[in-house]
Amino acid sequence: MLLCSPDRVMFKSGERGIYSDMNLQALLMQLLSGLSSGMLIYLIAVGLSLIFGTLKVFNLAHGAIYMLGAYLCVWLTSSFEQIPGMFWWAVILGPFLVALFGGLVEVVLLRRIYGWHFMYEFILTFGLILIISDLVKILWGGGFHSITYPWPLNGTVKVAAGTFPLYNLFLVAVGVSIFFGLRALLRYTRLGKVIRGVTYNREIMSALGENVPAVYTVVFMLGCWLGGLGGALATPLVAVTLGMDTTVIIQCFIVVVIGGLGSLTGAFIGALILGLLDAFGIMVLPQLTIAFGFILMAVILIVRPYGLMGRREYE
Amino acid sequence: MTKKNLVGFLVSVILILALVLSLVGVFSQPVAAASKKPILIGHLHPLTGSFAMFGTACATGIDVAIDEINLGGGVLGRPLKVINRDTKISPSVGLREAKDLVLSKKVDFLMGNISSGVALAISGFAKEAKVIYVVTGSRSTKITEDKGHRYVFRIGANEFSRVSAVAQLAAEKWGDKAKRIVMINPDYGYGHACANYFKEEYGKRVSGIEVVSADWPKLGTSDFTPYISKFMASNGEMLFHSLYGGDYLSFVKQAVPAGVYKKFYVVGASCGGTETVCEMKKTDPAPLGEILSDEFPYWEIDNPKAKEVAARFMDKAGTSYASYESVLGYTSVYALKDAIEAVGAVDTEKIVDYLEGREIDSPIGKVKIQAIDHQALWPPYAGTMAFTPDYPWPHITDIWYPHPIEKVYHSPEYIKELRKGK
Repeated sequence: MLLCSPDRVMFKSGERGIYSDMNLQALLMQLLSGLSSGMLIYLIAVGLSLIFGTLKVFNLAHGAIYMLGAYLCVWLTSSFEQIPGMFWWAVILGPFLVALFGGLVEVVLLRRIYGWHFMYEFILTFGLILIISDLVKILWGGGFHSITYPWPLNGTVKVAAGTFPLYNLFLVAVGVSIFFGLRALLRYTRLGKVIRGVTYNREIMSALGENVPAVYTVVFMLGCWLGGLGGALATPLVAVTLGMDTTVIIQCFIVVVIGGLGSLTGAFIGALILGLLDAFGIMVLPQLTIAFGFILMAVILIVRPYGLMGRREYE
Repeated sequence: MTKKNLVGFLVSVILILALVLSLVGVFSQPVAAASKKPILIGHLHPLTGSFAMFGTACATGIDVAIDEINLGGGVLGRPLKVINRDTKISPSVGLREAKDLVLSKKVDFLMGNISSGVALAISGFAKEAKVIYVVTGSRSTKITEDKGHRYVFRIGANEFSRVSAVAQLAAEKWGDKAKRIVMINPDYGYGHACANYFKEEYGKRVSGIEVVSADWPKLGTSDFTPYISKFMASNGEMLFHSLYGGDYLSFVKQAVPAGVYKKFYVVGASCGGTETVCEMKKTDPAPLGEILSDEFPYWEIDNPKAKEVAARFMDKAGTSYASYESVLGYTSVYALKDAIEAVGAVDTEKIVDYLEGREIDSPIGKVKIQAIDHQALWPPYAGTMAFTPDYPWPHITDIWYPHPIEKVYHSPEYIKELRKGK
């Protein structure tokens, strides 16, 4: 795999970061980094897309749901430190609690405004951001929280001549598994078939005797579970802090716009493109880092306004 | 009662209660207080969001100072009082709150802030309204230099002094070994200023330096993996960054396992003080050996008052660490108190004249306020990150700052030159 000798000067570049001599090793590392960044965003964005696809609600609070998942995971892990492998229990339990919270939100609040003007959804979900942020601040304070890499993923793996953290590879694996898992769920299970049916035509499914409101609750909970899982799995990698939701939600918006609102495959492809674009973009034009995602989004909106995998109705 | 009536009833009960309570508030003010009207300080800082810990830390310092002063009889017989306002890291919100504090709450002084953009917005208003504004946590040199004016002061270091201190220490320790530099700085005013100052200050002392790559992640970035893999594949020897707060914590968590701290000599402007590193445990990936600056390393400061005041802050805030923001807020309140007592009145113009060029008292010793730009010559302590037995979190050790302290702040001549064109 390694074509260039590792001790060779890997690139000669000025401050502008334009590489005159790229080598395969550097490219491979960027590829892995891009994949891992993309998959972390995918885990969060897919929940947003799933909820929009079925409920037609654009959940602005999805970032806050991610933050809640992260805080719960950190809190569970550090409160029960003595239990070996507590992080993994927290990864199971935390997103589950987030899903329950999501269910409560759907039944008590969201259910009342389906079919109203979309402005009401924005106001309600924006209000949820404020409520969740303050709730988190009251429960866990305004400081930073951090937990360490869990056993057995605290090592690194040798990739060609470099090393890469094992945990990032694990994230890639989780992202891919969730992608295929969701596809299988929607395609082969009865629940999946009902969800798809409700997505296409709510009235007919209702007339066929399906309990549509219950399906909505389940889908919203599943979306929140995915957001919470993204938060929980991000905790070893990032600092858990108030406001961690804002950066992530913007990236999620970019991903779903690129991929097509409501399309799960679109979210996967969008996240991959965004992750890889960021990773390779900084090799070529580091001073434009902030703009990459937005430039990509603008191009997609011009060329294909309904996203790569989206349907025209959301144009 | 129908549902609608019930809601209406509840709303009216709440409204009546609110009215009654506010009237009680109006009438319960003691009559004697008229002659003892409190001296008001308007404190502006982020109190929510990812910078909330800095704002609350500053509020802690202000509270401790005010408690002490009021217990001792106040200032000129009048008590001190603080009104806290959340700036939400937004210049427009900061400006609105500052205006409200001055125009409707009639505060005598403005204080605080971490975001330089917000501080500049408030400073512009302070100039117009002729109200003293003491900046604590904002680090942009613009506040006191290019855009400095009669009513703005900064008690705390600035980005130039921070970077100059770490650059000098790095040049002394690693100058002969590290010439090729990779940089990663947040893409906004502070990050760009730090990158430029480091190039200048390190380049002045080490010949033949070359910036191999410069990266500009967005402020608030949490996934640094692509940046880390990029500079791990480079031929750089030194890494300079100005990441702080949550960004810094995320960076360290990802950089240590990737071997960044083995490959590079790491230098940072400031990681954001103890409130940032306090969550790092001895078993976590830690930035050991990194050169950083901190404005209140009370664990090593050779002044008994530093540790004593730190203990009071920890007590008040219920934390295991004392923050530099606390000591800056604390010192600012005392500086105003001393000035008011010296001039014998809450007279803005006289207080400004008094503070210009004055040596003020602080828990770290005497600190001089430069007359030309109202910048306190606060020592930007530089040191090497390590764990010590007494503290559960990593912190800078072997602290040092350049002597004389004037050397790490821009000289009056430089500032005059800078302001000439304007």
